[in-house]
Amino acid sequence: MAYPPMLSEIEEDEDDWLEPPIQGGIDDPLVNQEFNRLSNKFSDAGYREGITDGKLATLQAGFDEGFASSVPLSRRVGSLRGKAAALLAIHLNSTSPSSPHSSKDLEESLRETIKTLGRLKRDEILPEDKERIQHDKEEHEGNEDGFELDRNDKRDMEDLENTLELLGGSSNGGKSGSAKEDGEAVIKGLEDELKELEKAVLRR
Amino acid sequence: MNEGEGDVLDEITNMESTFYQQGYQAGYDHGKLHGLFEGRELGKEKAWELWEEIGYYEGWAGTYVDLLEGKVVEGREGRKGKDARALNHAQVLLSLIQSFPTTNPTPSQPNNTITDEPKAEADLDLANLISNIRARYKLLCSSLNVKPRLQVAQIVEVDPRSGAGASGVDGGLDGPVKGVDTSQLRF
Repeated sequence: MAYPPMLSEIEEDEDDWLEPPIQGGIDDPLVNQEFNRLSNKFSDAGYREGITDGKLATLQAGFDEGFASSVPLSRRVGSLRGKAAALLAIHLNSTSPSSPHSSKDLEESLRETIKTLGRLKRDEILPEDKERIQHDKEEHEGNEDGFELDRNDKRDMEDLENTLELLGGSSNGGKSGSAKEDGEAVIKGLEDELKELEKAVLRR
Repeated sequence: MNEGEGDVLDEITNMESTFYQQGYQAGYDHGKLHGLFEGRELGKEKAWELWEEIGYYEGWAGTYVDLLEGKVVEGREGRKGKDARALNHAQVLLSLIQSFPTTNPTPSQPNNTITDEPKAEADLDLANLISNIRARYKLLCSSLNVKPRLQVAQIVEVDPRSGAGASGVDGGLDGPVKGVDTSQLRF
């Protein structure tokens, strides 16, 4: 017997029981939709849990790594700032016999250096996470913004500062416009500069 | 026929957990990456926050040691006591700083149920240490008659620092700030 039975031979409405029911069967598009919906629901739920657990698994190690690698430069920046502040205080305090002119110059140089040091920003000095930037580009292109750190007052303030600086215009524009300079090089330059100033101040 | 039905039922029940598992695995692998990135960011922030401050004290004290060592040796009467005291503060401060860890002292290994207490102790010691450091710095400043720098553990300073002119007001908290972050990471 031919299967499926030829419709032309038999009345259509007597036929239904011989054909496999469409509703609930393989060909039912609604079943497929339902299946997909359910499977996605479970997959998504699993995915969400997986992300959370995965993050927790590496968070501590990441922290330790980021911490350890950022300490040296941070320390040097702080040290420069402290040293410059101390030198200025010492200089202003000293009753030096030398000409008021050169004394004023020295004071000016110190203040300039202090200002420059004060403007150094963490994210400009410390190297950025190239892996993360790469990942963001590949996996989270454009809007779907990977994962961001939670907002808090301090980070909001940093954002505000950055924005103001961008708006602030030309005097800082040149600096931030150039490709991010090597933080290490910047610090080294300032260290050398300050060493010279130190000699001038302490010699007296 | 019964076996067939059994298989199908099994398949159906397993399907749910299989999808979950597949999703979980994919999410986990992705999450590991993000945990790493996020951790690094947090560590970077924290290191800068802590060590920029400690480095400041180090640079400050170191400069005064350079200045005062020469003077104290000269043995000027009357001034000697004061300078020697300041020098001492500066040297103590420097040695305190030397003892401050340059890496985050949390064990990253998983089986550390025993060390939960020592870890809490280590945190407490750090809080104490930074307190001591700050206190010693203030002592040093007062012995030099200079105002201490505004503490920035909590607050971000927007203005460039003006050296000796920095305000003497101390804001911000000591221990709790440090405590909060590391405890968030202890899972």
